[in-house]
Amino acid sequence: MTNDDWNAELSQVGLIPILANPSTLEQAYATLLPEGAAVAAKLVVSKPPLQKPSLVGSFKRDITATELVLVEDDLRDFLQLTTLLQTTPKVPSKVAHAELYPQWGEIYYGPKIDEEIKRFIVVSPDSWNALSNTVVAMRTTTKKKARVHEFPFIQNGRVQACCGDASSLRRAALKVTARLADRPDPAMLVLADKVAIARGLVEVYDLHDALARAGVIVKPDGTL
Amino acid sequence: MGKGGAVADRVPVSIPAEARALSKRPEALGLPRGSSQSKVYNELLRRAAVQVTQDERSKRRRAIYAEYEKDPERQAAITILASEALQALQS
Repeated sequence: MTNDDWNAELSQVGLIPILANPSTLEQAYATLLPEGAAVAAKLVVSKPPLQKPSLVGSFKRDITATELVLVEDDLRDFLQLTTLLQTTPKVPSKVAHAELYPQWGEIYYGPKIDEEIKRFIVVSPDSWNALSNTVVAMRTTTKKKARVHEFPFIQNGRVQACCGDASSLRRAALKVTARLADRPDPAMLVLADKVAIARGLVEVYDLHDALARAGVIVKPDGTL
Repeated sequence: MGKGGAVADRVPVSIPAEARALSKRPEALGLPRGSSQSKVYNELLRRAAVQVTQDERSKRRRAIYAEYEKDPERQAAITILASEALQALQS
């Protein structure tokens, strides 16, 4: 699902897996293809096809234009981009749940990378997060990246989010706790940061047409 | 053209041979057969402008992404994230 410029230059790609036996919950965020259900809620990053250890093997077929529209629209809706990128952005409502769950737009400590515990922002919707044992999250970084939508500055410019690294994580991979002292500071994003991340996701996955289909016009970065 | 160098809507141009050949086949541009030459050239010019803009955008993005490919933090992250992704898919 990552754009072809990304795929041409990077040894990582963003994928939506096709599952043979999706659960009822997964089906709610999926497009049915002849091969199975393409589940947007299970967005993952992977090494490119055939590069070990890739999640992807050899080429099977090109997705049709009609199928791509459906899958793109699923991803747009799953990431709640329409709500965030309309003229007056709206914050999606919270979902009440008896158990603690990783919440959309909040920041949690996650897996260690290079011996350092990293911070992750949850970008999957609470309607998924409350019921699933996985979430989609992206890491943040204080190491300078390019000043483009794909790496939006957040938290008053102190940190950048890596939108192209958004991927499914098990709930257990995040430190989900009610104790704010055990959460990163700050533990939540302001609306402007959530909108900036949404904008970055549109660029990474080239979802401009998908947004237009939902009545929201976001011009590709740098175009007329 | 007025003061301040405003861009004119019409300018005289020489028509390249490739464009002239296409002007005889408006349907190749998705226009009805028999469309006027001005409609055909207008569509050609619009498509060319869109293509050039897209090419510029692609070149800019690829340069940025090529830098990210070399990023040591990214290289460390993808190994962990891909492993986590596999566990997420299996769970």
